[in-house]
Amino acid sequence: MSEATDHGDERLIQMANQIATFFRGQRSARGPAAETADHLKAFWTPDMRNTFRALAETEAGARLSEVARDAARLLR
Amino acid sequence: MGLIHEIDLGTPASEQGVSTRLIIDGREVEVPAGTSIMRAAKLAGTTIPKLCATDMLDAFGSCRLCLVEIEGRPGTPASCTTPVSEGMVVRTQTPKLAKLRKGVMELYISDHPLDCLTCSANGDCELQDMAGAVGLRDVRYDPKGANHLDAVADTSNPYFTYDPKKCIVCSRCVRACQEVQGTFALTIEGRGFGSRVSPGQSQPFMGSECVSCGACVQACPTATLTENRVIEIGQPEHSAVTTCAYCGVGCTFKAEMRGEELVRMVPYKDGKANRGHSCVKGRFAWGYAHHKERITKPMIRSSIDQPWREVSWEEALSHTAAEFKRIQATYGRNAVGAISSSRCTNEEVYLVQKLVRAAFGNNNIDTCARVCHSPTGYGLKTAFGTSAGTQDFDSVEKSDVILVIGANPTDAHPVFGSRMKKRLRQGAKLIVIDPRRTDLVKSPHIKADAHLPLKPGTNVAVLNALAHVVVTEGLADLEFVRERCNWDDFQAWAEFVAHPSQSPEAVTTATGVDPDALRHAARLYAQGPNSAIYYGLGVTEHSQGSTTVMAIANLAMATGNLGRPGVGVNPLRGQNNVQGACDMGSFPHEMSGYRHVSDAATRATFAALWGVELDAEPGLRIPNMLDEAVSGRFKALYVQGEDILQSDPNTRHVAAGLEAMECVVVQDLFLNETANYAHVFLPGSTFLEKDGTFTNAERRIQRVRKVMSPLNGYADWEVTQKLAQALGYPMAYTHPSEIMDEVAATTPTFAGVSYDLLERVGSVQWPCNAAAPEGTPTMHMERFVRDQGKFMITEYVATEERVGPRFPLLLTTGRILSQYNVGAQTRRTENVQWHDQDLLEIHPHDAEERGVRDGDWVKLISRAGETALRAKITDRVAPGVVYTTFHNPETQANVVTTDYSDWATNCPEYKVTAVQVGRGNGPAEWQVAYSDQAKRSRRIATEAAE
Ligand code: SF4
Ligand code: SF4
Ligand code: SF4
Ligand code: FES
Repeated sequence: MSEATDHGDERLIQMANQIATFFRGQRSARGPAAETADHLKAFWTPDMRNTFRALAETEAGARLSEVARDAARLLR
Repeated sequence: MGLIHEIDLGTPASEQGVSTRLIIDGREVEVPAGTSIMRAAKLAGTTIPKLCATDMLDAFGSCRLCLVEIEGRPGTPASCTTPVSEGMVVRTQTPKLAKLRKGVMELYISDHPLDCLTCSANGDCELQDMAGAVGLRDVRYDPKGANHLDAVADTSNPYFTYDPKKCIVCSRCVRACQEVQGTFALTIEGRGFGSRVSPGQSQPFMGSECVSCGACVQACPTATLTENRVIEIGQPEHSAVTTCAYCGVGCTFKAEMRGEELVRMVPYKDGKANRGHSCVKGRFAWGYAHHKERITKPMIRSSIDQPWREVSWEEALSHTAAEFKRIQATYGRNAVGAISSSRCTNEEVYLVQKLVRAAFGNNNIDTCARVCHSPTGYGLKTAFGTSAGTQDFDSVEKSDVILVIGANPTDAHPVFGSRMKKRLRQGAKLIVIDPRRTDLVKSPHIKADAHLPLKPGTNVAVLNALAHVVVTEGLADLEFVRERCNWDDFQAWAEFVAHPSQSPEAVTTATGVDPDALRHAARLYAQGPNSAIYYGLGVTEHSQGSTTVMAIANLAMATGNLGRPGVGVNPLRGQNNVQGACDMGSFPHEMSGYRHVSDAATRATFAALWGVELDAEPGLRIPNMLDEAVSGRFKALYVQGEDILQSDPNTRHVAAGLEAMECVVVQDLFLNETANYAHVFLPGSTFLEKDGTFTNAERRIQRVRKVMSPLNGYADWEVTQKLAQALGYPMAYTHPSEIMDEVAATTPTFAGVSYDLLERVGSVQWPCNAAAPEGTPTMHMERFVRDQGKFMITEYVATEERVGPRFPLLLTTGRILSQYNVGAQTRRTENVQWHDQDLLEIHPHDAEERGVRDGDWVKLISRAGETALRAKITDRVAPGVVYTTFHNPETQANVVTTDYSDWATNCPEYKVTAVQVGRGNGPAEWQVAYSDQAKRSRRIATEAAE
């Protein structure tokens, strides 16, 4: 992911994983995936969320952590 | 409008509460115990002659001009060094005193050139005033006797001159440098008649330790130390109080004027942030305002390889409006956005975000705080419920232990640095957590009790280890936690940090910090009793920036160091108005006062007032805008007062993003680096040319006052307003105060703020509303804004940016005192005499391994890019770490920084980049190409051409 082009998608994956990692460690009744999804809703534009949700369904989704992948499903 | 004269009470205020009554010249006076007779007299309206005393400094008692008689006491004690006592009867004017004072004055005058009429201080000289006050009429000494009238002036400093002929050796300058600034650059050399003021070891000022703060110039009662501007153009005739536009300390100054010409900036004693002190930037580095490269006419061009064409304001604005409308019609409403600036006023920032939300119809508004303190906002809001520091600057005077992490206040926040150093000299303990041995770690009369030189990128591990010691050694303040915080969260957190894997011993390999030193630091902090944390961009600009802020908040809550003076969590903000820019709703997800765009009630307030529907979804942040631009979905950007090309990470990616846009509008003073990619240039105005407010790092809202007409014709807020009008959205403010009224009407934490209030009280710290009509110096006194303080689990996650065989060193970045950020302003002043290029600091071992000698050109290479600069070999940095500043476009340190960023806010990870350093032989190829391209891009077509 060194070049500027197409690194948008790769960035979304990387950012989602970072966010999921933080919430994985937290104490929360709702669980880390729900917290991650809330964070994405609060800070990402609808377009970014849509792209991310679609990405999670492709093979790029394999590079997502489990929490991040669950969060993508919750974005529906 | 005349000059604002501040009253000099002669000695500082007494801290003692008990009141004391005495009689001065037959009048009863009541003052706090410990007050000097001199100050008590002045407060009661009686002026005692003085020369060596001034209320910025402790009394010294050397000139013997302030003598008084006290009933029942022998002799004539000095009133500046004699404290009042109950029932004391003082006489300040008697024939005996008059005679003594005349004698003193005669001595001074006999060794003073009597050229008052042509002296630069004529009309502003305390020696002259005192000669008048004591009624000096003749001098009995032989003017041809021994004197200093041949002494040569030192003109080495670009901003002030030292002319020893006029020195009366009152040592006010020496004491100002020690007590106020804390640099200890000056001494009195020699003894008796031969004594003279001298920087360092009889060096010129520029060769000495002097940092050109100006405190000595201000303290000097004669023309000995004088601003060059006063020597050149003469004394000012009127003044206005305004706020420095450089850093987040927010020093207030008297802008002293002759007509519309600025003569000098004199720090304002009533300024609650600076208390009469200043640094070289605010005091002297304002010459950029009239620099020849300043652009004052709007310009447009059809593509970025064309030269600029000067046009009328009407044409520039209607062209911009037409382009934005075309782009939205073609690519959709969300294809445009704006960036507001932390350098602009609150009112201007508010207007830009209003333009975006109301006229663009989306939430694509972001601010440069994205790249500095956005994690502070997120982290502190999570922990305490507000996105701001908890204290005022005065608080440091009550601290027993000061923990500084990822901040270099003596360089980046110099006036606060001086105030902190003053407290440290009084005995407060100091802990510094920084990869570099900053000046604070060891400087005259200051030595850190603990310095933890951690590996860049391991803040969270170190903070968790500090917390580990606090919890496992039983140092937590459980009573505070029970009363003020969520107990279950605390327990979960305590269990997490108490785990052996978080111990100082367990993390030492990752952090590089000696476990014993870390334990010592933790005990110091926990035992306070008043411990305060100050932090800067070394905390926020990491992929775990927000987590680090939370870890800091955890530590403060766990030890009960919140909610009173002397403690707290204090972000040191970079730019003058970062706090304000965030407060005013510049983030794509938040309206003013940190209210999320999804909150229906907040949207309803603004929708009703603005007459538009508001988008309930967050907009794009700066990095997202650039990503979207590269992907072809984001097409137009309005940038006010910001140079993202130079200041944002991964320059090549920023350039690619800007290049992909169809309309980039830059509003600035100069053709900055971003303007190389712009299609429209709207000239901006300086802080001297407009009214408004800035909010400093302590949430203090202060006035900016217009002292000259804008060279470009309009203040920046007027330009934004005209752009809105051109887009068909009505805005009709006639003065920035009306914009602040709108902020107050719509934002609960600002409800009480108005220009009238600021006029009355000088400045105010938000929250300012019915509950706190005069503002809030210390936050969370009784309870946290979010009710219960919240402990978050802060697991250390190593950054993905790792060293390896190709890039074995860690680069971290920072700034230095004389320069400011991308340097657009300071590089256009004499401050370049202190710093004319960015240097790469490298440890002797690493340098030797690479055959690099001091001053050599070196190549600096990372995954993102390559640049070249000169090396400076120093053990300030640890082996394995290199350091540079980012003040010069020629270096563009950000060519090598990557686009890794904070997980929560996308604040870039400037502070950690894996790099390799090798010998070079001059600027890198692209640096040469870049400077050619920049030159080409800055062409302005003359009438005849094209
Ligand atoms: S300018 Fe400041 S640092 Fe320099 S000698 Fe004067 S007081 Fe000291
Ligand atoms: S330079 Fe000015 S302040 Fe310093 S000792 Fe001389 S007269 Fe006093
Ligand atoms: S410390 Fe900051 S606000 Fe104060 S004068 Fe210096 S740059 Fe300006
Ligand atoms: S003013 Fe008191 S001794 Fe100089």
